Amino acid sequence: MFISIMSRALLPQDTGCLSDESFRWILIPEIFTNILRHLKRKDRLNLRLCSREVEEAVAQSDLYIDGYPGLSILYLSRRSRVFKVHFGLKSKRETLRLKKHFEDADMEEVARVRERIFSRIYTNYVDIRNIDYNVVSVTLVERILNVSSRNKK
Amino acid sequence: RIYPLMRVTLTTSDGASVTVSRQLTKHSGFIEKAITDMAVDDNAVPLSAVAVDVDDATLKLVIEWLTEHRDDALPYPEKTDEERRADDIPAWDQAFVQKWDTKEDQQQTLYAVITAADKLDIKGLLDMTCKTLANKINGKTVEEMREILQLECDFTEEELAEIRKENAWCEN
Repeated sequence: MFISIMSRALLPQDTGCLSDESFRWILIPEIFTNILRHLKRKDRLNLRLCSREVEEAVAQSDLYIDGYPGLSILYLSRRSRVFKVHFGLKSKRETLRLKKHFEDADMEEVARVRERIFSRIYTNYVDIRNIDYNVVSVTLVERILNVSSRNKK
Repeated sequence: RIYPLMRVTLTTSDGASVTVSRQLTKHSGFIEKAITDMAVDDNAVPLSAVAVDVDDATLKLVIEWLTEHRDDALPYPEKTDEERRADDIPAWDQAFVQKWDTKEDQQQTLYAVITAADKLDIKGLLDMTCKTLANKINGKTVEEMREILQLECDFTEEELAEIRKENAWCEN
């Protein structure tokens, strides 16, 4: 599996915390992702505030939403001029949502924040709607998604 | 294939040796691969030696768990996120983990067993211990999480404010 080799290269570096070797080991993406899969969205976000090591581990972890059929993972609302990115079923409470007022300068911020919340997303479907590619570049959409999709539609 | 007569000697990182039945080690992808790589004739060679990067105390806990779960079906079932539950830890496993509460540093023991389960590729044990850790921090505040994970905050106030701002985007 891809992450098996890569993850150890991504072992968080010593940042001067009190954490020992065992704690660092659980921060490698394949283990930390396993832990995060049992946590709620709010817990994932709270963990980011714990320490630099843990914040980096969250950023390197994967997000699995492949258990929910028919989900929408990226959605741009034009009417409200709010850029919304849903990672998971829109109606489900545990969905991760990034919401930002639609301004060109902010689009880069959306991608940057997404990259701090997870590394890769695993899903059965990718549903992209209402994107004006004259305004939002394909490159930026790809950066926000970073999807490993089994049934892209 | 199961080789109930074959026994495996595991050499720990601190130099101890433990001999166990192949019936237990079949749950460890690492040990099974090591034995396979030796290309031994299982009937002709009754004993194989495998070095594991796990200390003696932790390996004893792993073997205790393997002994209880020796009859579990293989391969370990993969679950989707919808099927995953953190509250379905079997009673024996819960008691197994709770025993560590009497140890001087229960959290370090949990980390060590998680690490051992990963190194030895024992999916059932890894999943159970990850759930246990997740259950400890589920729904906790940041301060409580730091206390449970035994972490010191090494962010500046400015950095914390920035992360809170980013989190707020996701919480709206």
